[in-house]
Amino acid sequence: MTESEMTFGSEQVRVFVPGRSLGFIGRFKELKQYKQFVIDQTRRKLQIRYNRSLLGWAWSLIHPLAILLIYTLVFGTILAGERNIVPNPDGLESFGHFLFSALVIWFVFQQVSTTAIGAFAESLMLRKRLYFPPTAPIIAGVVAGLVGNGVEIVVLLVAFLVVGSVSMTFLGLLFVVPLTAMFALGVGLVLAPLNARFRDVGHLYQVILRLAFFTTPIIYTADVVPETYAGVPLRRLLQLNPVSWMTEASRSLTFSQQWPNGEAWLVMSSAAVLSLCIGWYVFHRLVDDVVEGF
Amino acid sequence: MQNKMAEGLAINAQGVSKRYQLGTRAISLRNAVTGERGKRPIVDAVNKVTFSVAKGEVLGLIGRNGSGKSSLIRMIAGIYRPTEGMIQVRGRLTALVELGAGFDQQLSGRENIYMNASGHGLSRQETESSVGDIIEFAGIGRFIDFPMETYSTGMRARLGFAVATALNPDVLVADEITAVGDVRFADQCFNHFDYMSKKGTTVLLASHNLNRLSDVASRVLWLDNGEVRQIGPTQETIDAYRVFMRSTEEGKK
Repeated sequence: MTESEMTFGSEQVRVFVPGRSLGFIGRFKELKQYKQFVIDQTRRKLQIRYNRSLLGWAWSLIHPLAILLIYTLVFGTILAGERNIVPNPDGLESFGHFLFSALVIWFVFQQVSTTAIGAFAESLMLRKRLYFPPTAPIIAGVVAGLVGNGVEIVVLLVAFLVVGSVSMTFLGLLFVVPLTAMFALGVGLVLAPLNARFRDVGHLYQVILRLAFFTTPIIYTADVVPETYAGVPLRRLLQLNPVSWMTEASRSLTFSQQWPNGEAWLVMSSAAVLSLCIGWYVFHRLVDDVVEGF
Repeated sequence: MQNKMAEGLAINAQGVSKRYQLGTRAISLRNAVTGERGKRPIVDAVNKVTFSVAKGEVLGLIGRNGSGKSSLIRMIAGIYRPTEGMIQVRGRLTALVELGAGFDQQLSGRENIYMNASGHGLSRQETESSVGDIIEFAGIGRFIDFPMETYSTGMRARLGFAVATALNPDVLVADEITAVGDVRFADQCFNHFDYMSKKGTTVLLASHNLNRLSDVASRVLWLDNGEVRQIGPTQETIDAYRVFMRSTEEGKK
């Protein structure tokens, strides 16, 4: 089980033998060599995203605005009386601000993990004709998707600027967003090869995402969750979900304008790094067999 | 030790086999649960193949449909791993399993040139400097700035070929790519293989076009049922293959 050298160069000898084609570090080096391919794939995905639509890129703006409007209407107006479900923020900020400040992070998580699964499945046909690192289409898809998330965050910023309550804490998103993306990428990397083998995984994941949306503090804050409910340590369970820490941190930075505490940063960073490492490992353990699967 | 390779060789395959286990895609829940996987059919597409190609040589690869040519080429290209044995390749390799693989129908020909070139491992500057030559070689005129969905099959193939050969690889492996396109395109391809080998590129060429192959190949490898049936001088091997094909009923296409 020797690893093959993947360095380009006219005298370089590459060796192909049975077993795993490259080590985990080798896979990383290889990806770096295909940088241009990743960039081009990203550009392609961005270029064709709004093909054949009249409004084109305006859709990336309309989409988050519409969601902001709908959720504000549903939770802020129709359900506004349900005080124990929906918090009623003071001041100029609406429930929309409250909600969107956490929702943007949820969107990052959802987009990155879902795109990773889809982009890999999509790339398998081409992979039978052309060699490229299997993570390349995933990275390209995720980066292209993050551009859309960027627009959503700009919408969030503008929404807070309109009511005149923006502070330096907003910059904290520059850390929370990448950490969320890293965590989600790790999840996607584990699920992508499983989904390529059994498409049930992707469908099941969509169901789990729907459930996770409500078990993550997005439309509510973590502190309205009772410590224990019927003997179940609910609050503790909530904290086991790394995405809760991320949505809470985002809301704290934008809505409450407070820096999350050290514990929060520690949890988020460890979750992100651990998830990405596990994802990278599992993905490459499975990928060779999946690519050749019939 | 496996990184050591005899000087003067560009491709070295030692006892290479490829075994496919079919039917994993059609796996049912019951099979997955009961672990009833042993019943999936096994296909030995390539069976203990040993050969080498010298630097600058053009090796023709012939054989019936399903004889293992494509599997062998995919393994040399690193797309599939061998089940057994070892393959060594020296230098930058370009594999043409399908012309224009990865072309996006919605992008223009020019945009696809950049995409395709980076897919073959070319840097932006390298592509930039040869994009003019590629467009000229492809000869598709003003269509170059139209979306690819407006192209004919032949135009796609010509552009794919133009990009791939502009890469200036040390080793070029091609799998029956001259089958699409007209006679002139096939001529253009074979002439270019000849030209590239004269410049020092090693070429491994799978083709059913025996007449043209005999003009460019220095040696021919004949695969049958995944095994090396014969390897040797071009004309001799092709003649033996022709006799064989005439003598077998299955040989009729």
